[in-house]
Amino acid sequence: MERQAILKLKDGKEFTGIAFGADNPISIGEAVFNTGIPGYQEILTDPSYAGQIVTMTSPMIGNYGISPADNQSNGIKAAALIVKKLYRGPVMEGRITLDEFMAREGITGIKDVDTRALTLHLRNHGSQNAVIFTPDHRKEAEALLSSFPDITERDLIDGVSVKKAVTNPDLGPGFAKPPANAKKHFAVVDYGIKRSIIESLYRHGASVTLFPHTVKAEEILSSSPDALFLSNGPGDPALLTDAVALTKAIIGKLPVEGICLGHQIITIAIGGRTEKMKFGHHGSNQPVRDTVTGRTFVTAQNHGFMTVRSSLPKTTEIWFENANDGTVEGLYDETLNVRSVQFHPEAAPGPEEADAIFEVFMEKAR
Amino acid sequence: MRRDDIHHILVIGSGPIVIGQACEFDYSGNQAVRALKEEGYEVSLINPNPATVMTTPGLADHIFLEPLKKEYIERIFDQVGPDAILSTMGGQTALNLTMELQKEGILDKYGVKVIGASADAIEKAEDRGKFKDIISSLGYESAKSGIAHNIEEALEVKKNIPLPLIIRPSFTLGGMGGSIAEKEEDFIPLCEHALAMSPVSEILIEESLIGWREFEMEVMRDRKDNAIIVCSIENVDPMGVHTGDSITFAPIQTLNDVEYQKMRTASIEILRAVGVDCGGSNVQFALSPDHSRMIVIEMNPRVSRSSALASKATGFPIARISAKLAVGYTLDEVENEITGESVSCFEPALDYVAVKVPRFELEKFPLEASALGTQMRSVGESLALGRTALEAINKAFRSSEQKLEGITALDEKKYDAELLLRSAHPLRYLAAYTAIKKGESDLEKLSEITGFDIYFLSLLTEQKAIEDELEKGQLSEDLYLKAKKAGLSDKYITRLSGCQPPLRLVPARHYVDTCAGEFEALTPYCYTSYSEEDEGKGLGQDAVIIVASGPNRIGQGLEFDTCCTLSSRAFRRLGRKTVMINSNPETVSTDYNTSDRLYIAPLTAEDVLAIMEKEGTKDVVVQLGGQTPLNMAAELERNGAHIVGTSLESIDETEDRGLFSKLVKKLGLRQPENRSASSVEEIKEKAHEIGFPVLLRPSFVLGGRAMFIAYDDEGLEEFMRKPEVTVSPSAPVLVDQFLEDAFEYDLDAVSDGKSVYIGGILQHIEAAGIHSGDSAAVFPPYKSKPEILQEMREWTLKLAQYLNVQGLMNIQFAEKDGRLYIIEVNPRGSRTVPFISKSSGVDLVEAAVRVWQGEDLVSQGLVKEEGGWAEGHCITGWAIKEAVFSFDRFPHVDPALGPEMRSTGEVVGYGRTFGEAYAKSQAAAFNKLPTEGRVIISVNSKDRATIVPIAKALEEMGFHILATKGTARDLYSAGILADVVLKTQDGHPNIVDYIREKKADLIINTPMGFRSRQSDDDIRTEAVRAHIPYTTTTSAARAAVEAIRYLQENRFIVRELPAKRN
Repeated sequence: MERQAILKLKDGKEFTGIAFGADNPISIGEAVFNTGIPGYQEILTDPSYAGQIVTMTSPMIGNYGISPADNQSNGIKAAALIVKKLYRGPVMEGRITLDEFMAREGITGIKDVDTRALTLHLRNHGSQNAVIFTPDHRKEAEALLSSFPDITERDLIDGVSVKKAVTNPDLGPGFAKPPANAKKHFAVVDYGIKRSIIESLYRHGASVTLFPHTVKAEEILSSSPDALFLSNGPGDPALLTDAVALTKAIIGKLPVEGICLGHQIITIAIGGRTEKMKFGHHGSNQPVRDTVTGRTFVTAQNHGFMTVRSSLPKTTEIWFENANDGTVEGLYDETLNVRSVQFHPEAAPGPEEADAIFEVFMEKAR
Repeated sequence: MRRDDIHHILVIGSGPIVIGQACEFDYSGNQAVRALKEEGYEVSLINPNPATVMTTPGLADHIFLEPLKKEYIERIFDQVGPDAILSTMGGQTALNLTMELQKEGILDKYGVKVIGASADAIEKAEDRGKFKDIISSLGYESAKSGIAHNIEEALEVKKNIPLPLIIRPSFTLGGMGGSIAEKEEDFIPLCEHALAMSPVSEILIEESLIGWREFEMEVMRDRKDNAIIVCSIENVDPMGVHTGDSITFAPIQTLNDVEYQKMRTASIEILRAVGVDCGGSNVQFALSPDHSRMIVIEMNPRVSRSSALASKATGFPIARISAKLAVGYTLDEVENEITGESVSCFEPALDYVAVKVPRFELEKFPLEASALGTQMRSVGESLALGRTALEAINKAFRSSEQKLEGITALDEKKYDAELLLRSAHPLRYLAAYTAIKKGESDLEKLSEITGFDIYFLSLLTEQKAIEDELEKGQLSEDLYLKAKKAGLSDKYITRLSGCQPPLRLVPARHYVDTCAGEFEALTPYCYTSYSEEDEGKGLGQDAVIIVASGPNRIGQGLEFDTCCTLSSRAFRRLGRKTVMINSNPETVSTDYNTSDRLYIAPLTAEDVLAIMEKEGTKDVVVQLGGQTPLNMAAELERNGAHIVGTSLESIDETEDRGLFSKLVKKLGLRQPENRSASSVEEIKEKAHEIGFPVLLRPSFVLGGRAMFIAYDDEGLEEFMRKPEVTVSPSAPVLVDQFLEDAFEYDLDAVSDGKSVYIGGILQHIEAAGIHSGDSAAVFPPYKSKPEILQEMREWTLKLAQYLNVQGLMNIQFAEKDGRLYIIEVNPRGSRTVPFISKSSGVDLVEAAVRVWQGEDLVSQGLVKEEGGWAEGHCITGWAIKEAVFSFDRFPHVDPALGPEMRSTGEVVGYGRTFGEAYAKSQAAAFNKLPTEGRVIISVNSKDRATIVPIAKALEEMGFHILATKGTARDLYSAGILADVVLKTQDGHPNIVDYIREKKADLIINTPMGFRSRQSDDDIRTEAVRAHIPYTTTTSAARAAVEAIRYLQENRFIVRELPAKRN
């Protein structure tokens, strides 16, 4: 029996559909859209999507099922999933269906939604909180939606960071192992790191100690790593005063590098500012220009906040910029020995061609 | 940055439409020319195909409709002095020609640079050995293979490659002698057979990838090493079926991100290694069904049919951007025209599914069960966009105009579904549906049998569920909505459910924006889908809808699309907005720049009416897209459309034989004796009344489908045995007097109902009875009495006035023994309109559009006085149109010409003299006229006198004359010595033996009448296979003589197409 479900946005716009996955009466989060074509498994399990309801603009979702080796964390981190058409047929041996995966993970999806209209609405009116509910829970859902804090007010890091420091974590089947003879050692602060970032560091010859987001500067420095690396993660960087303080404390003592949220934390730590974008960049097709070489490549991105270019100190250079809208996609500051990128060189999902960024991260580590 | 070291670029077109090389190259060439003009370059163009948009005056600076031969290109270098040549827009033809020019040093001699793809990159991509080396050096896999010259070597090769193995003898025609060894014990015998078949005792043994999944990537790369995937394509049909013959989906549906990115990375690395650094390429992959092995099949370093498809599937104009890259720009410097705020260095994101379905001509070129293979056989394709895969594929099947209302089970009385399921056949996917509809639920088993991925079979399960529900006979609003969302037509829903739609649904308009909604689309490229929010507003009643011609088929192709494109341009010049509707992704009409709004939609009344409502306009043009729009015109009008131009009553009066006969009588014209028969007995009776030979045909057909000439009762029976022929009172068969040996004419005109402007009159070279589309034709008429031509003009004026023709009309005439007959009148755009327009310097389509906009022919300056006529003249001296065929693709099909059209394309030859024009038309059609050697002459008694001067001329030009007995005797009495050659039935060596041994260079054989038809057929068939020129009329022979005279002078004159009438 099909379960009716309703998606309601904070500004009142409603969409109807059919629920799938887990049987939750209400799911809430910030509605964003991702324009990637394949990659729903990596997206769902990317901790950066914590607190967000993801709309896939690609209309056919679930086609290839879920592979045991492609999760970016230990499970689904997104709050819910919105799709146009859910594939219900059989999948390859060794895989499970998306519907089953969602049910197992306790996450609800809504299908048969006019995702095109939803996307255009979010594009025109901005990302905003939304709720998915079954018709008999309308009142509670609406009440929850009206009181639910904005993404800029939610601390989502604690839920996705490791609790204790761990060195060279095993990433599970399908992922690379730590290097036998590491060339460099990275202290990585986990704000909700994707497995593929750790894997990329491994593949480029780094060993990794993953620290919880609550780690103190002394602890990092006493492990004498070759660099501090700040991971991706969910939410608004402006809330992360501890992370900024930590970064400030380390700058000058270690090279500091970062991806996505890590890039935004570095921005603030060196004196810059971030701001919320209207609907962000979420997809696998964003063109990014390397200001040094002039080359443009296609990158995977997932961010709703960005570095304000004019807020950066004079010594800081723009490393990468978005070829479409000119936003800052990466920075470096030789005097402070920091460098970071807003996009995802580890891909997963998305194009692999920015992998060389990790070589720079390695080379610039002490 | 723009290259300033070049100033003048020659773009090479692809020539005539043949299977595997169709209008996609007009689309790409047209985009390229426009892109280069935008950049301020001088642009020259060579393409002998007069039906193309690209050769229409106004765009390129210098247009040459000359043969695609190095001699002519060299003259163009001389004459207009380009300093660069763009090689990647004209298919394999242009690529090969560029390589030839490079190898012979012609490019160096004239200091012409190759842009688009370097000769080195072309070489690396095209040379199988070199390409395999590149693939393995990158760490990727190619199909394993080896060459063997004997069984020992074959066994050696086999050691490294697992069964099944494909065994191919080298240098045999059309893959003859090839086979697949599936079992151990078959291997040696099959190798022995193949070795024996090969003239050089050499075989290629290759790993069989049949049944593997097949994928394509459309990649672009620039000189800064920026690279993007424009579109990924997944073939539904497995490996072993040419991608042009496969149902395909974009984007790829069944790969996860890891698998997809692996293919993406490989594609870019391959382009880098091959050295494609300023354009697009297509890279093809095979994946084992368990996804464990990925094999690189091939790449094409140029725009292609796939890239045209990818452009239409994504909105990303590959050819346009390729042209920009070729002149120095990089992807990040080129703006994305669709959004206006993003750059072209990104990858389109799709929020819909695009499905292509190929269209075959199974009636004209029958295919055996497992006929599909490595050579393309389909003649056209349709594209549909839908918000879901099922919606898109149902729409694509509907769009293919093969009488399919979407995915439907096969009629098992007609087809062996079980056999087709196991065969590489166009109907295999529908055979799979047939099995599922009958209850087969083991998708895994079906997938193994068919090679279709389970994902695509699951779509069929979904279709079955909907059909089953509909077949219960009740149609709730929910069910109706569900069926509409699945892409089913109202007609089909009603047929299955027996119910009329319970509510009136209007589909939503969606934009193709290249970015899945991330940016606002500026470019009006649309499709429709049900039950979603609508985007944008209609253009309003100022807009005019042009219904185009759908997938290419024989008899309806590029010419009609060009008429549609030109009409859109003309309307827009006059300030009207246009809405183009088409389903053919290869075309210029589906370029987003052609019209104010473009819809990719099935060409059915239901879809057109929905768009009419969306756009808020009623004006619909149906007279330019061939039969497809005309067939729906009545339904459109019944539902409120205003048909632009000539009224449907008038169209009916010309299409309905009975009405037309009355009209002919009323106007005092003449037509061949004709009757209509509604039973088999009646056919016989009427045929005897008229007297043999008779021409038989069903009503309402284009391209002469199922037409037949019967010489006696036996012929009548043969006609009745044809599977597509039915006869009943509602579908009568038409029985006409056949004018044997008549001269045939085509006339194209524009009328405003009062006056007539005749663009030109074409006289056919081929004997009567051959479809006008298949006959070489000459403008102006080369052999006609002035009074006959005058009569044609008068008749045309009478008809136009009586029928109140508003717009284009085409009339076919025949002249026999000094009497003029009218064969048919088509009050619509015809196949010859682009040819006549170009050759006369007057755009007939524009003239028609002006009439529709209220500007009569007098005010257009085309006719002096109201109620009169005027006529265009050939601005190039002579213009000869020659038909081009694709018989090479169908070795088992008899290449006989007849009343049913078989040609796939056309070329033109222009010249000051008849000989020059005819020689060029033959060269452009790749027919090789000899300049020396042997001529075999065999003519019927009526032609014995007219052949004498021809034979004399050939003798004087140095040819050796052979003739059959009777002809030789007559030539002897005229003073010409000919060696006698036997007729086919008189023993050996006879004419056919001479042809087979290539001991003939030209054959002149006029029909000996019905009794020796078989022998004539044999001669023609053999001549076509051996590529020996063959003429069936003395007029064609005379044309050949004049052409040979031109060729013997060895001057390759090139003539620029004048922009305007002089």
